[in-house]
Amino acid sequence: MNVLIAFLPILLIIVFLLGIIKLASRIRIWTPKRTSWVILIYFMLGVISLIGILIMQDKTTKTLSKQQLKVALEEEQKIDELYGADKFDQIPADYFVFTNSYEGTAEDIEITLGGNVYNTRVAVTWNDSESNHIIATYYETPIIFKRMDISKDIQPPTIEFKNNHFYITEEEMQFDFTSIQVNLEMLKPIDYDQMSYSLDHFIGNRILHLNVPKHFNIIDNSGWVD
Amino acid sequence: MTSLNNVSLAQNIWQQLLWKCRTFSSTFTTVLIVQIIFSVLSSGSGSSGGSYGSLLYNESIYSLDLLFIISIFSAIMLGWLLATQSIRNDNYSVVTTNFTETVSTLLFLVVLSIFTVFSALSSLYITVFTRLLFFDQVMVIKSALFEISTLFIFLIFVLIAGSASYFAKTLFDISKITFLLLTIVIIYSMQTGGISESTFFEFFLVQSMGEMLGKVLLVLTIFWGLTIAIRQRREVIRR
Amino acid sequence: MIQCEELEKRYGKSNVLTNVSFQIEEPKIIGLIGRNGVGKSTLLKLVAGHLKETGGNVQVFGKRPFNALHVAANVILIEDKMSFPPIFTLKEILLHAKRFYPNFATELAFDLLLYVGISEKNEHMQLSKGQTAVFNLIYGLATRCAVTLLDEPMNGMDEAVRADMYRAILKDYIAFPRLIIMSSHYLQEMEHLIEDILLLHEGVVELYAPLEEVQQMALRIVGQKEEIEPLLEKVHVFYKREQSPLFEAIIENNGLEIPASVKSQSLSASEVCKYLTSSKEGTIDDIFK
Repeated sequence: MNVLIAFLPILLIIVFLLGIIKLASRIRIWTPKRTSWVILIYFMLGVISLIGILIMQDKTTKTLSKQQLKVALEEEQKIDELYGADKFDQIPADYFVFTNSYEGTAEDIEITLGGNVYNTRVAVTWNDSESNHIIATYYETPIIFKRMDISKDIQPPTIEFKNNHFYITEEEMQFDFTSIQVNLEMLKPIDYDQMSYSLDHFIGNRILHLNVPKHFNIIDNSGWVD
Repeated sequence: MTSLNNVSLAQNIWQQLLWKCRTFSSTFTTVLIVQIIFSVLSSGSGSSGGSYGSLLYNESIYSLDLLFIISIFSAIMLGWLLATQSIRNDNYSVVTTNFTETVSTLLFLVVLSIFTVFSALSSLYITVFTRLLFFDQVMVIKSALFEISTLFIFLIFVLIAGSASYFAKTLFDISKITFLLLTIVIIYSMQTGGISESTFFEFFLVQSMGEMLGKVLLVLTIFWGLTIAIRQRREVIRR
Repeated sequence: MIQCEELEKRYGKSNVLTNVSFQIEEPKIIGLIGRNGVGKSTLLKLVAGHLKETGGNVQVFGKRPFNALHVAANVILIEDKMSFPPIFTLKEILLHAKRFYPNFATELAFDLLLYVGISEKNEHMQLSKGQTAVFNLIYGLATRCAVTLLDEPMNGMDEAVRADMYRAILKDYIAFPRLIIMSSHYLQEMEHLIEDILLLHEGVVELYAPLEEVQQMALRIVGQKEEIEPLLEKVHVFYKREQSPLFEAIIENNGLEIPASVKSQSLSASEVCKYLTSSKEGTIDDIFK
């Protein structure tokens, strides 16, 4: 029974194709001469469409080249290393987005990350300052998703500080797009290596660095704060 | 006395190829109609969606995938039909032998496969361009708009599908029991997990171009060698 | 041109041709005659290379015809089951033929089509049985192949068209001599056309001889029983019938002296062939006795 169900779509396609073949041979308007004209016109339409796609640059955008993606990936790894070593001061100034200062009034400072905070990593470092100011600095490298630079569409995370409680959330972003791939995606997994996989997904760093005086206690409600 | 006609093998095959391109021109229209219908009915080849944290995405993909699947099916059907008795009888209304008839049909299948690839490409371009013209949405070009390697892979699979089907029909004509047994073995192997469609694709899609070409040529040689060997022994029976 | 030696053809267990030997060296029109199922079509197909011989040897232009391109290019077999691609009109079929048959007489083909009133815009499958036969014959004739094999070419044609087509064959043959072998049940109609007769009977060549020779092979004698009966002892008798007061017999013509009181008459080739291949079990009248 399962075999039958599995072959049902194939059978339907075969029946459909048989119908078309019968129709094409039955309809007497398809003389060899007319067929060659139709083919010629269709191919010309194809070439015109290709030229049209190339010309309509305002309606098309290209993905980044493999080289560009590799550079971005390397940069992401470099920033990752700096992040891991808490060397935030060495993150290039180009990636600096904003810095805010928040004043804590109690010893315990809670941090809650919104459920959708997935891309932004939050790190806490300590300083010896006697002040009550917590400095939040946000860094963002170019964000590449599905081989496209979507940095300009990315909103920085929202930081709300209320009653010694940080609420960090990200604004949800719906990203709908249509893509053209003049290739056979279905055969892709066969020679799809790890590198191709990395390049096809999310590349970029979103880092929120909280520099906290030592006399505060940080209570991480989410368990994701480094 | 009327003079004797001297025809070389190559000349006869070439003339038959030209003749078949006209005779079987409905196969071109069939491929074209099928591709147009599927391009119109489907909005792209597929879509994928998901989320990365706060980033939700939905991607509509216009690729050659759907046209590729349809082309494979078309090639299977047309390969089978080209081997039918009535079509072969028509072939004997001109100067031919079993050998030149089979070889010219093979060459016709090559022409048909090349046509299938380029019509699929045209169908994709036309669909995408129409969308660009009538929909106000930016499209992302994710690959080169013309990739020789993709077209080549498309071509060889369509050609292999057509050749396999032509061979299957030839086998079916000489021994329905052998054909049936072979079909049962293939379906059983697929069911028990030994063979799947991806096994087939994986066999051909290897990193080395030379190895891939070698495998393709080997498979085509087996199909066509056996077909010619079987056909060479067949008599012409007009019914 | 064509040489057959002990040619055999079997379909499964059924033996169609058992021992066919003949040789044709020059262009001529030959009538291939024989009863139904005797293997006329099979012989033509073997010569055309459509079928493979089971035994013996067949050669056309010094080559075995099966799967031989040189033979295929110079031999055409016209039969009623001949089919053409349905996508072509008759005009297109004729225009394409020139690519395969360099001697193809396109103009003649169109003229003949026009004469018989078949529109060149028709498709082969749309033609009536008679029209199909006419078109196939025109096609075969126009190819001007060195060996033209016509298997029952007149089947389905009306009498007037048949007469015209016989004439067309003769005229084109005179202008472009070639070997034409024509199998037909209408031997009487084509007696004026053919030069030789190849008679097949029970899987072998019963007779291969010039038409005039065949016409002289048998005599019909009619007379009184007592006058005829002594004659019958000296010759091979194909047929005899008593219808009082007369006695009629068909006998072999071996130069026997026929008395003046006995009426004697030569037979047509068609009748000779009929008697040569008649059933040894007697005549149809014997069934109703």
